[in-house]
Amino acid sequence: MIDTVIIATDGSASASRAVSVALDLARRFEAEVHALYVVEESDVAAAPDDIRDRLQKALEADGETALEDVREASGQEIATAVCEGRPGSEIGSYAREHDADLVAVGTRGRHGEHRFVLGSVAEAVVRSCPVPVLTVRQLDAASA
Amino acid sequence: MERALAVVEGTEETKQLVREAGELAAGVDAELLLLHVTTEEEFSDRASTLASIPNYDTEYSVGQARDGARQFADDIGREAFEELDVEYEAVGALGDKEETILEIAAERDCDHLFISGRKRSPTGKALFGDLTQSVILEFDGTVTVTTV
Repeated sequence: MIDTVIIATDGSASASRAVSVALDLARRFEAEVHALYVVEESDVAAAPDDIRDRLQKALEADGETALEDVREASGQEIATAVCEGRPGSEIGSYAREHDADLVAVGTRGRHGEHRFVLGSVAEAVVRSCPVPVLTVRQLDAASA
Repeated sequence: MERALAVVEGTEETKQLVREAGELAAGVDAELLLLHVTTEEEFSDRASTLASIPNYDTEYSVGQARDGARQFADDIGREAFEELDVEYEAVGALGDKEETILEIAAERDCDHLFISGRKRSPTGKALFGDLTQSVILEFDGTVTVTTV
């Protein structure tokens, strides 16, 4: 049975399609939903010292907004978490810790990777996640 | 999810994938297709092996290859769902894997694909399949990847 679904979001359009598919499945299985946002450690580390703290706070705030979007879309009680680290491994460990049955991610992130290439986070999650990973590619602007 | 398609391969991981697909599909009353694709290369290897057997004059036809592929998918389904009540339809095809998977998914109006994310190289090293990556990027619906 599907009891626990983890939705990893970065607030991007690519993630939002995965969010709605995953929420629909979770509803039909009456599964518990966790929404997870990972602040990319490399984003923070790359910033100059004097703005690093502010940047980190801003990214965390972005995360809260993205998680709030998932909560609203779900219309149910969900657990949320903001972690910091390498998204691929953070998502994997979160899934393991919470004994997830399914993890949902978008195929591309905020960094606007090329449409013929899988986003680095999606690829890392798909490669290493201990539980099945649900992905939905973003529709082309023309067909969306 | 209305109709799901699971890609059945000749690997150890495939049964786990098929089970995950069956569980999800059955849970939402979706139909499930199990597809095994025999590549042209596998086909011609098999054909030349059979042709090299002295006095073996039965030809290995495309139709037989397709039947064999369907049979393979069916066997995996039977084993994977031994103790589960999951219905499925086995489909066999001959051709390029990526093209054929996407073609059949479109023909049969599938909205959710299940594919394994890990391939083992002959040396046992785990590799991330290019096939998995292209299917994720090319398919319009949902793709669920299992990496066991």
